[in-house]
Amino acid sequence: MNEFRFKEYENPKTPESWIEKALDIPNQPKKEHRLPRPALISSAAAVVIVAAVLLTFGLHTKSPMHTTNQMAVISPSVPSVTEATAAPTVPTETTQPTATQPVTTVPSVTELAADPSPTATPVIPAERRTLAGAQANTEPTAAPAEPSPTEPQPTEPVEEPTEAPTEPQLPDEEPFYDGTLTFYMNSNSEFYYSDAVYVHITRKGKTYTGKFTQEERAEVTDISDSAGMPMKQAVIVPLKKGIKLTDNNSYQVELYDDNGSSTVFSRYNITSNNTE
Amino acid sequence: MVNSEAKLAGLTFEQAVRKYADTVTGVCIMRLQNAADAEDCFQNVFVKLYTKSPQFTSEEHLKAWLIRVAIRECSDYRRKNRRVLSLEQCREAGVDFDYDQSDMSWALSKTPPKYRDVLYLYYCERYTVGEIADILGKNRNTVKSLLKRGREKLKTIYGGEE
Repeated sequence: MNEFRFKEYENPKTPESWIEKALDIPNQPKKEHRLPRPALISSAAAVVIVAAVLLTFGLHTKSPMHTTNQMAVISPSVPSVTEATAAPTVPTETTQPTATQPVTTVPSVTELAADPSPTATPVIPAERRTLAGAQANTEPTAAPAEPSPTEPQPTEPVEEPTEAPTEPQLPDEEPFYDGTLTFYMNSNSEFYYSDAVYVHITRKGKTYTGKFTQEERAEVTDISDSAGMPMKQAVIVPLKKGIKLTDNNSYQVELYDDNGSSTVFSRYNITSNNTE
Repeated sequence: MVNSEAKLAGLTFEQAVRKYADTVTGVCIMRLQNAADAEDCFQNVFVKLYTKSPQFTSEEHLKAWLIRVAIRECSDYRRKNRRVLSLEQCREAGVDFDYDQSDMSWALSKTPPKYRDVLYLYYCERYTVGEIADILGKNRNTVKSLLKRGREKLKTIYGGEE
């Protein structure tokens, strides 16, 4: 039987050849670091950064402020871009209706869809006129609520474009509509209690080949009408979302939410003077 | 030379190699049970000592570092070569060193691997339980438990007597 001899234990003697090899380590040529990995990583990082920058800034060529200003001065008789330059002093506030633009005359989305009364049109602000035009188009035979040239202009912002821009706008300079689409919802509207409202725009036509069906979430804000009643407005800037609307085209605009509610404006024209 | 004397606790690289070569060899042999493999790990340990240039506060610190690196190096070596070596090869691969059956090294080679480190450091390198716990990165109670069970294994190997 073997016995433990802990105290007699000693490590095995290291062969001298091992020690000589170890001592020769400082004299061995140092392995050069190849740097494919850092170079690869930096290249990949550069590609990612460039892609992120392009995605971030490439889609939005205009600032939101510029778009908002354009929206505020839309006129029924002059293309929107020209109007924007013609009336830069028009206040951009849209949430609080003024005395000349009573909200009570503006029907809700559902109301307008059911009863597109043109009588409400003259007193709504520019962006609301856009809505009214859309809703009027829900009934193809109904004429849009357009103020005729002989009628007095209801509000000053609408009259501003008659002063004419200082310089004529070139037709190919900015052909896309860069204003807003605004939808008002009172407490009777089916969208009033929706957390999110989406706008689905489809161009009606055959020749257009580009991407044109978009679903975008609209910004919904709480407002109140002149009587102090709570309302909500859903605003979307089509061009900011990459939706390029042009004049002289008819669109189908669908407003819907996550709850399944949906309202379709079948023949919506982006410029008021061209509404059917 | 990369390592200064100050960095190796006052020792030159050559002095460090000569002083702790047997310790590193013991760890490598104890773990790998094969002289050729042990030599590879032995060289790797000192290559790391030379290239990493760690700061050592004392010779004990240097020794503990060498043991720790040797244990890790052997583990890596085994893991890398696990797919290459068959079970038969492992059985055939004997230890080239002369072992007396009364020698601790022989006994350690017969114990399960998980007890070897603790037994080796405790009985061969004369480390305390706390020092072993620091070197192996284990809890003190775990070390105590491994030591107790390892002793029982050794007793079995040596026929029940210590």
